[in-house]
Amino acid sequence: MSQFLWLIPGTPMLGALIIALLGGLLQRRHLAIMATCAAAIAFLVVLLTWLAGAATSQPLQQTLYTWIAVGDWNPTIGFILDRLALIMVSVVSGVGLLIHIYSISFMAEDSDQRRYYFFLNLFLAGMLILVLADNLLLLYLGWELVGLCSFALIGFWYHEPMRASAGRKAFITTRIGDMSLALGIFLLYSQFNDLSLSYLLANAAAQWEAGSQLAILTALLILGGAIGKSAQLPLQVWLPDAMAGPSPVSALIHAATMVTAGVYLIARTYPLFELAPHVQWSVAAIGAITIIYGASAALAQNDFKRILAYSTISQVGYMFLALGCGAYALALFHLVTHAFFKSLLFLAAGTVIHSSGNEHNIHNLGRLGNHSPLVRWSFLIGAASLAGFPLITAGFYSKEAILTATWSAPAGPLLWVFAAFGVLLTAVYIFRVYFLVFQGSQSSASMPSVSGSMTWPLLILALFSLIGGFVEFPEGWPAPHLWSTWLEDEFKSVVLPPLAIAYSLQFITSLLPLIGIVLAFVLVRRKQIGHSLPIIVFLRRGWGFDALYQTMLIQPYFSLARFLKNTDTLLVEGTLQKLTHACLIFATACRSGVEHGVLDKSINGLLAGLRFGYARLSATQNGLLTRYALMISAGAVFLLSYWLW
Amino acid sequence: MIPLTHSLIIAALLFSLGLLIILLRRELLFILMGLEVMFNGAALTAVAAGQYWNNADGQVLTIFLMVVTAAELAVALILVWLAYEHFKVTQIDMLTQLKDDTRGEPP
Amino acid sequence: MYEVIFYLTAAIAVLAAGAILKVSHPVHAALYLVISLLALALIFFLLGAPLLAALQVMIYAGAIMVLFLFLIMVMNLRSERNQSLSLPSGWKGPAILALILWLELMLLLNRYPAEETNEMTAIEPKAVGHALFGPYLVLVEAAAVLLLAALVAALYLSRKGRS
Repeated sequence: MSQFLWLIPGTPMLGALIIALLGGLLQRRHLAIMATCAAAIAFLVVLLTWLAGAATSQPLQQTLYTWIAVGDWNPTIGFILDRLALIMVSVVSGVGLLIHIYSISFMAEDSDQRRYYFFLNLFLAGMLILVLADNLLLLYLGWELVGLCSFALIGFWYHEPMRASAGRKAFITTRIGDMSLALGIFLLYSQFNDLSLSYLLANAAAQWEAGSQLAILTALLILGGAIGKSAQLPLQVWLPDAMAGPSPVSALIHAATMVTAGVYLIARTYPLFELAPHVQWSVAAIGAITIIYGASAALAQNDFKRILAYSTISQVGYMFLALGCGAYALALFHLVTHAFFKSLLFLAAGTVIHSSGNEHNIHNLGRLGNHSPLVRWSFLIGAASLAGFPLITAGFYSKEAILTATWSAPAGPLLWVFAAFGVLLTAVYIFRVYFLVFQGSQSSASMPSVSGSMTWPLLILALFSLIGGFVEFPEGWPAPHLWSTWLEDEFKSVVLPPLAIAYSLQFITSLLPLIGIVLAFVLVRRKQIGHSLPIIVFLRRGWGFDALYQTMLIQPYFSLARFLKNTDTLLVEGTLQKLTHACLIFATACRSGVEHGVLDKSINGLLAGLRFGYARLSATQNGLLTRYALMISAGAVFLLSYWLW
Repeated sequence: MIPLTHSLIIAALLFSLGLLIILLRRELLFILMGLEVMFNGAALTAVAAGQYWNNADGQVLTIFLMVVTAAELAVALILVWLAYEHFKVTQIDMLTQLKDDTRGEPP
Repeated sequence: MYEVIFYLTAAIAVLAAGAILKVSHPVHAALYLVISLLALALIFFLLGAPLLAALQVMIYAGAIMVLFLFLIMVMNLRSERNQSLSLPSGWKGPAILALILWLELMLLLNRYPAEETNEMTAIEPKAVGHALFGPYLVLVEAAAVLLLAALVAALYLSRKGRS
């Protein structure tokens, strides 16, 4: 089986190549089908690896060839499929395939499908390379590929300056994180002289003692990369704006896959984080704060997709919280369920927005009324799963597991309070949307139908949003714990609180979503949210992070550029000219005033001298190539003679 | 056997001659030829030194020098042609668009 | 005999380069350049670098020369248009400068007089290839990228319908 591993990232890459090179020969519709086929083959190969027993066997490995061979450094194009990678590959290729299918209808009207499908396929290839890579260099290649595709797809409708600038913002913001990751990789290479993941993770503990400075620095740098990609505080500003892209793109890249790359990265390099306990705890703290940040900001938005974007920030925060508490398996569990329900929500939102003529405001969408029951029900299922509606939704199981695991971490109760408050807020904001948009909806005759290929992804994702959680029941229940048993070889097990505490925590977390839903219902009824509180504006602007960055970073940068531009003019032209001019005025004044020969002459002499110097200096910039060459060689001769001296 | 010194003297001579061509000729093509002569002077230095130390690195350096020259010349020749098409001149005296426009009498 | 050939070739290379200074017709200049380059190829060969001698003939005398000649044809350059047949007025300054530079370079290059060896060893193409694709592999890839960039630039600059 392992010799077919390259097909997983290979087929989308091939699809992207064919679209780029031969796309002009194909018809629009065929382009879409071809791209979907490429994604389907990748998914099929993943399914085959499951059938071939990849889930139970040893990790599959395939080394295609030596990528670069310089001296004793030979990074390879090599893939490894262990259980962690298997989870990621299944999610990425599965959700990716569904989104491709959905896109066939969604993008049918667009005139630039070739570019769209090229980047979509390339993204899939990049993401699969990222999760399958067996060394950090290849991982970084995938990392940059997905960043590039994300940029290109956010600004897909680049004719509108707002969307194009959203793409740039995402690219530049994530670049900070990417640079941090690159520095981390450089540091690891300088210390270990090898970038292979298995070697690094096996030897890190032997070479570095826990809490040593290098370990902390490396963990911090990797964390920086993860924060940028996963839109955690303080690099989260790009994600809400990233909603300028097409809805399927938001669902695939900015909800299900790319933003979880940071989670994957930390889970993959967790031995490095174990060596730096403080950094690991700060992962949890960042996650906890981001949960509250995202959820509270989502509460105040009026743009449908921005709510979901803030919700994504908040949900990825749960994954970071779990990572920071050492519950890696549970973070992945939430990653999977989140991929299902958040894609579902995005696709449902995309359908609603699409059929209502690109209306994004939830109040207006509610007034427009008629939405098809399929969309309504799938959104309800997604919302319930996101809120963690007890017992029947996948989101409940994954979130509940994370909250229980949080309790026994350092400062656990504090983190738990943050996370639990996040659960409450989540239920309020998502059901506020549901009540505002769908409650007034009645089944009228003019109900827009959902076209064929949009239906199936919604149905499949809705199904998984419900049953996806049954692989891991809460602690202390007489039901299977398939997920954590399956992953117990990969990660160390989590310290769980005593059963009595666990039960009471579970009780509270099941109660919170219900309270939240009731609260949302009451608030929507009273039309309270979004109108009265002064804090709403603060929350709607995402805690003012954008304004802060604008004043702290962007404005000074522009001022500096302007200053430098002005200095050039001032120094080169201004000084000499002004000096001459002042002397001219002075001389005229003297001449007209007291006709002293000596004074007159000396002033005139000065003036002439200045004019002479001005003319000479100005003549150096005469645009003659020969003159410039002469100066360069004169300078070289001078330097050489100085050196020879 | 040729002493290293002699090769280096020839290389330096070629380099200086190339520089002189650049400085004295006015035709753009001639200037590019002068550049070639200078490059070859540098190449001769590398080869002679490499042979002296009995090391292939000198030749490798020269090969890279050739690559760089080829890349430079391909673009430069097209720029010469464009300048000819655009301004109808081949002499650099006429190409003074970049000169300082505050030349002459101050206002 | 060997020395005679070497110094003769060196003299030809230098004289041909000097002739570029004087001639008025661009085609003549190009021909002198070819002569200089071919003479240099022979010098490379005499120094024991057969691969470079071959490359010099192929790349410089073959490819680059054709580019020059082609451009001369396209631009239809003639000697009458080239006014600087007689030396330009300011020739003394640059000439002195170049002379000083040559002297300085000689001083610099021969600052630490090398001990002379009596045997000439040719470095075979195989050794060069090993060095090129061994420790310098990254540079080869970078050079390939550079050539690609030059190709793209050339295509871009020479495309039709430029605004």
